[in-house]
Amino acid sequence: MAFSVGKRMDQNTLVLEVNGNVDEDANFTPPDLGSSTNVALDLEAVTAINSVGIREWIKWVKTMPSSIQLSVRRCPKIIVDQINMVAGFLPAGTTIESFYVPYYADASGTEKMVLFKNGVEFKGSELFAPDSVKDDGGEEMEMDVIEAKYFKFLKNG
Amino acid sequence: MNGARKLDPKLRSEQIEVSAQSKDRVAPHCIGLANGLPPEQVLRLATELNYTHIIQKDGLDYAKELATTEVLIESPARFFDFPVHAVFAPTDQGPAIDQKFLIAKKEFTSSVQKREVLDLFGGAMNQRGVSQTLANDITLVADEMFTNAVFNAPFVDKATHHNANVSRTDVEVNFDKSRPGRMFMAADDTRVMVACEDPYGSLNLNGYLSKIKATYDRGAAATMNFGSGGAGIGSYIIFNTSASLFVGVKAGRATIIACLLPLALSNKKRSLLPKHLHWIQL
Repeated sequence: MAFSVGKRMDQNTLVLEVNGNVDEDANFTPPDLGSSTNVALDLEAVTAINSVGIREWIKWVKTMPSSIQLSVRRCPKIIVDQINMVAGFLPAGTTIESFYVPYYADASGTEKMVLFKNGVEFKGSELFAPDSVKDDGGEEMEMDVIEAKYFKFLKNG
Repeated sequence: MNGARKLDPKLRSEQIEVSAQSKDRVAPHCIGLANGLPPEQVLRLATELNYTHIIQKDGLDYAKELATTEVLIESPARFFDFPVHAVFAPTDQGPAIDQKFLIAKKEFTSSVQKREVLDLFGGAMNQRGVSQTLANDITLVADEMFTNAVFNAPFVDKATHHNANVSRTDVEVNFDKSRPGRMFMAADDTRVMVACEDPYGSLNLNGYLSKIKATYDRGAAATMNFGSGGAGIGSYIIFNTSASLFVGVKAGRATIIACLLPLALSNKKRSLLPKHLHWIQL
């Protein structure tokens, strides 16, 4: 899917909805933030990111003024993987509002993405994972990540 | 690492137990057998001690990997002639074996074909019911392989091995149509292969593997190229995402990069698999 950045207001937060493939074809013009001091990057619709995309993303987020309070929400696993892999993928002080965690059912081989929200499923670096996650057939699912690696970024925040 | 060399056809492979403490350089027919070795140590064995094949007993399909390794030591050219066959059915005969495992293939001569290739692979993965997270990983490695083949391979100076670092963002690259690159996907019951072949054979194998190791040692941010050209971490991403990596260079003729990922395993189990590594220089 082609890259685009949409804008909308969520109360006093400017939400930039990042869509599509973050790669060499993505147009990363610095966004017009107007007078907003709170900016949230909604990343749910990011479909893929490659190595050039990682680099261009880092250059793009660096254009955000330091006076902005930046947050990210609904980060898919492909983005969480980059946050953990590449120091500086998110500027220091970025608030993590929410991100997806994969769950897997061995019996059915199915997976499900569960949204972890700040203040609910995590607070700071502390996790409060759901007691039970089930697949569509009612089978119990397990968190499908190596916790020390996947949640490492929460400790660095 | 040595350059092109001829193997004594009478030599059979020799298996050597290796570890993080291994220090001796070896001959090309030696197979390093490891257990739970982290990726940077696997790369150290390859780049510093000359191991051309490092396989891990607790890695993906160890027995199949060993069988492939034995065949590739005896006949390394088979990797270039029939890469799918060499990996998935090394002891079977017959050129039709490649077709048995192949699930998608596409020749390419232009950078603008990347989306076409990735969509083809995406469709093949959907048909096989591959999980979304695995599909994302397959797409990622295919993307990196394609980009390397199109933007690096044609521009490496044959004499100096210098890479011109062509911009990815505002250049359309076209190959000679009579010498296309090709990407393919293949699978058996437990593994999926993503592979890319370019017709240039310009990859500096030592540099390629050393670069990956440098990223493990120093981190992605420290080794990233923030100038023009590639970001410099694509090969690291390929190895980091894979359970097994095969890199073959026939100087001036072909480079093939093929990786294996496990099917029907959870992400967690996939992440815990120690990696196999194979490099072939002809």
